[in-house]
Amino acid sequence: MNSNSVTDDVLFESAFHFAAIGMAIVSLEGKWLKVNSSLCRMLGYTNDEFLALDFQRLTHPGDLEADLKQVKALLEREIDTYQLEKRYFHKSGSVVWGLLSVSLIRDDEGAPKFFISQIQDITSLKDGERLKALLRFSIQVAHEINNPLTIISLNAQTIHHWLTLPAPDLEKIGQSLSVLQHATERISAITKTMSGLTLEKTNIEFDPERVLPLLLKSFHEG
Amino acid sequence: MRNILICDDEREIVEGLLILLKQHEVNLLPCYSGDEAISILKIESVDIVVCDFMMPDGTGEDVLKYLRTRGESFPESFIFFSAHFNLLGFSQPSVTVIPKPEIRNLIATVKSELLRLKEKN
Repeated sequence: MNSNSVTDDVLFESAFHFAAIGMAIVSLEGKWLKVNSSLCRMLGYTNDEFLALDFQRLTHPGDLEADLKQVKALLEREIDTYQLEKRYFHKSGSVVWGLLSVSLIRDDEGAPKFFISQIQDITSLKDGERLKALLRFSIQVAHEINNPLTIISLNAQTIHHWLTLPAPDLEKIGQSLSVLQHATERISAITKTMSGLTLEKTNIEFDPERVLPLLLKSFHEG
Repeated sequence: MRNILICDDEREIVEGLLILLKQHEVNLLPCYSGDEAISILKIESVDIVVCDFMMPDGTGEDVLKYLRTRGESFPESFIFFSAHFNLLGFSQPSVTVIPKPEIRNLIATVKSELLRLKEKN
C-alpha cells in the first residue's frame, strides 16, 4: 500500500465518520455493514445495534416497495444511482423522513459488491409541508361548510321577513324550510365524513393531500 | 332604480339574496358564473356588484379584472361575498370583502351603499 492510498483511506474514513448527513455501507441483502455517527444520531441506534439490523426493518412499510424497486433497477444496471424521499423508524418508534441517495459499488468484474447510502434528515421540511397541507385542508373544509351556512342564514332571514307580512305565503315558507333542511344535511354530511375519518383512520398516518380529494368528492356527491 | 348584479354558483344563495334585496326597490341582475357576470356587465350599467370568488366558469377575480381593465367607469361598489379565506386582508379601492356566511353584514353593506348613492344624487 503506498502513502497515497493510505491518505485516500484516511480521507474516506474521515469523510464517512464526520459527515454531517447519515452515511452507510449496506450489503446486497440490505444489512447495515458500516454506519456513521450522524446516522446513529438520526435513527437513535448505536453502531452495534445498527449492524444487527437491515434497512428493511427500519423502513416504513409504505415506502419499502418503492425502495426495493429502485434497488432492483440498480442491480440490473437500469440506473446508476437513485434518490428517494422515504420514512425510517427511529428507535423510539417515531417516523424520521430521510432523503436517501444510493450508489452501487461493483468489483473489477462488474459484480455488485455493496451499496453506499447517504441519508439526509428532512423531517422538519416534511413537517412544514404537512402543516401547509393541513392548513389548505382546513381552509377547504371551512369553505365547504360556509356555503351551506350562508344558505341557512339567508333562508332564516327570508322566512323571518315573510312572517312579518300581513298574509305570509305558507307555501313559500315551506319551500324555504326545505332548502334550509337540505343545507343542514350538507353540513351534516361533511361532519360525518370528518368524524368517520378520525374514527377509522387513527391507525394510519393522516395525509391531508391524499384525503382532501376523497373528502371533496363525498361532499359534492352528498 | 339602482342596478345590482348578484353572482354566485350556488343558486340557493342567489335566490335568497334576490328575495332579501327585492324589498329595497332595486333592479336585480342574477347570474351564476364569472363568465355570465362579465356578459351582463358588457351590456348593463351596474351600480353594485355582489360576487362570489371561487366559481367554476370564471372566478370573481376574473370579473374584477374585467371591470378594472375595460376602460369604462368602475361600479360604485364591488362586494366580494365569499367563503374563500385567502380574501381576508384583500384590499383594493371600491372593493369590499364580506366573508360568508355573514348575510346580515352583506345586506347592511348593500343598504348603506344604496343610501350613499341616494344622498350623492
